[in-house]
Amino acid sequence: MHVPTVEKRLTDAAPWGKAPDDGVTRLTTRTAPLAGLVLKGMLLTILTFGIYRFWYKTRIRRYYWSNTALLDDGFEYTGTGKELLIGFLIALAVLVPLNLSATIIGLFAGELVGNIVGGLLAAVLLPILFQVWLYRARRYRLARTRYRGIRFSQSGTATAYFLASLKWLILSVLTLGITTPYLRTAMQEYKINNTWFGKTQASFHGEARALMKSWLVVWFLFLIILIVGITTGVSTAFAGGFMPLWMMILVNVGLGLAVYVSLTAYQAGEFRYFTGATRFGEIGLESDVRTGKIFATKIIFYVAFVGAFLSLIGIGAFVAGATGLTMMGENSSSASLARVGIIVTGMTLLGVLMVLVYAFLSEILLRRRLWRLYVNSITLTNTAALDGILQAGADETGAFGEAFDTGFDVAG
Amino acid sequence: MIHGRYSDGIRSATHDVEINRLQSGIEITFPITGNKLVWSYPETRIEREVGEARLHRVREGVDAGERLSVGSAVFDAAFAGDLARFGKGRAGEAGPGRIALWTGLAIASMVFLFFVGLPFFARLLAPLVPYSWEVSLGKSVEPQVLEMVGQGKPAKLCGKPDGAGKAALTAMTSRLTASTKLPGELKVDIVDLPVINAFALPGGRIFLFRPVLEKATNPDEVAGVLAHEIGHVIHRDSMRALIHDSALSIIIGVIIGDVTGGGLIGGLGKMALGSAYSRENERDADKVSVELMGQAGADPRAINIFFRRLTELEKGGGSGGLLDALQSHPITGERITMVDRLAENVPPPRAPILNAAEWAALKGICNETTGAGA
Repeated sequence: MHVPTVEKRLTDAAPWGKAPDDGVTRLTTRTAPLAGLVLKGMLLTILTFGIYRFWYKTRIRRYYWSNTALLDDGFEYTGTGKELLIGFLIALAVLVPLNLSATIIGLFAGELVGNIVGGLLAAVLLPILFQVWLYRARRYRLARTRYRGIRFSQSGTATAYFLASLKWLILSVLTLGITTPYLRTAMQEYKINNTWFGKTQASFHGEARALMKSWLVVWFLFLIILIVGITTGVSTAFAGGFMPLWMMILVNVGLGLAVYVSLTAYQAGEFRYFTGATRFGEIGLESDVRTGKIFATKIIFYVAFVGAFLSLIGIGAFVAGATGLTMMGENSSSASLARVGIIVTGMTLLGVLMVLVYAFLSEILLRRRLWRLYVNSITLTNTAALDGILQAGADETGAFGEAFDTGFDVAG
Repeated sequence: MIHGRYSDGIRSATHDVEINRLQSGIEITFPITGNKLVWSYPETRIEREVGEARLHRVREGVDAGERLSVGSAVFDAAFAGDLARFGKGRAGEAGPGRIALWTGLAIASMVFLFFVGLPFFARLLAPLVPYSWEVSLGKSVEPQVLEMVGQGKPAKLCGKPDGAGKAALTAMTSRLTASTKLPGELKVDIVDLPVINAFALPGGRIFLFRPVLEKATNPDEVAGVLAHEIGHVIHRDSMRALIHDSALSIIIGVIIGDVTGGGLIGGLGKMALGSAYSRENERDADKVSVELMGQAGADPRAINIFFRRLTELEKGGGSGGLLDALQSHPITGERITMVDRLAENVPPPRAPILNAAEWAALKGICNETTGAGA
């Protein structure tokens, strides 16, 4: 029996951001306080020697999920810290022996063999393992995501995911990165085609060709930077340079900025294209995310972080100067020991503070703002079809999940 | 009358419903059909969001997807007195007690790993490493170590390759090890630096520092220190320490290697744990020292007399080298008593390990024209 949805919303409305009335349904976000959550989470993480971070990560995810809404209904994250902890312990069981054997082989098999084994591990095995993990982590996150009580899920296997993208990976390496969009598209295609909302499977309808133009801009700018860098370097070394230093710096900074902008533009374009290429049954998606806004958000974050970083150093130097003056008088060995102790403690505190400031600012000024930009950029067509989507059976580990996947997650 | 939005967990649709407070729970009424259903309080879980109370239903530990969303203000007005009766947490979610339990278990398993698992692993693995690997490892780290102790400049080694000092040192070594099976050949040298220290590198490479000779009043005192280092070689302690430390740093790195600055805590923890581990190795090396000295007919207690005198020197503010002596061989009362106790079972010393001429040559080893080094 299908009970039709009543059009008029009767609830005391939750203060969702107002979606512009342009005839499509837009994903909305809600501004809820985050700073307290981040501070408390970081403090507890330090006090528990890192163990709390699984609960912290869960809390942060719940924040982003539950403050994202479609048609005034919020998304839900139902994962738990315990699951992340268990996943981590499983990961430990894989990683530690791997690392240990690599270290031991590197130590004893001599320099050459050690380097080869270490290189293979770093260049081949770890990236593969990491991709496998990312896929499993995505499965976990989707299985813990609900909308209107209906679960998302992911089918497919990490191995098939890797194999599906392998030939593009090889091609990308052989073409020095020119065909990267083909690799990215193949990976996205596999992920989307294995994404489910209830019993409705998503589908991907995209072609890498559409991304090539914007990628070639990035690629050629990289190439130019390489060529300019090498020629200016060589000419400076052998002929004293054909342009003054300030011009060289200007050219290099300008080129670096150009690459960064073009890369941001590519990423935004890719997001728009991938979103537009995704369908859930009869429901279509679009994104109109703007490169300029993403770029501005990142710049604001960098400026804020550098500002905070410099003022921390300033405060540290001031404190060091003040304590140094008071201790000038004494010169016994115990006083010099105490000085060393104070310096070490001070540097340690400064280091911890900087890491905390970075973590705090990147959550508040970067991740939350980017989340808002990306989420608010997404529109859906034919959302009436949502009402017909049915819950898939089984429990949260999913009809597709294995026990091994429960909580198998990587940092991120 | 309170209004809310309801999803049944079967279909991705929401229905506007009316909500009533009952004694037993929340009554949900569908205005169109007039159908009613009731969520009991223990089944109902609350999640607070801005302006909105999100309720979900957990029946027999399973969250089938039933959802109810109500405005915060009206929800609190109606149910403020019942909040304690609602169920806690999500399906499968751990409460604070469970979190504490898991944290405790995780820490306990790590502590077990650090104090029992890793030392055991290192002890088990060290003898399996071919000694030739250890020798080549020792050779590769030796220049770095000598540069490190020389604080930037490579430290010089005393004595000429075929000088009298070297011969005396070799004689001492071979007398100590005459009746003992060694994992491989020993190579002993005196480091020409004014620091009271001694250590063994992987592969039977032993270094005594110049003051060990200068501050000693008879050859048995030096031999006691040497025998202690030979103890480290026999137990392959540098190999154990290497395996132990690299495993430890990998594990700590993986556990706390997150953005929140755990690396620092990891470093401190590693220092504390590392020293706890090496104390046991020092005791074992002391045992070997007593044994070898006994077998060579020398005085096993000489090392204690020597250590006591060094401690006295420190108290007198002699060389300011207290930190040096503590570097790798912290001398504790516990160790001195143990050596005294073990020495009781050793037959009384027959004669000093070196004769007067040899002892004089060894004492003068750093005054010979400097050797070419290793």
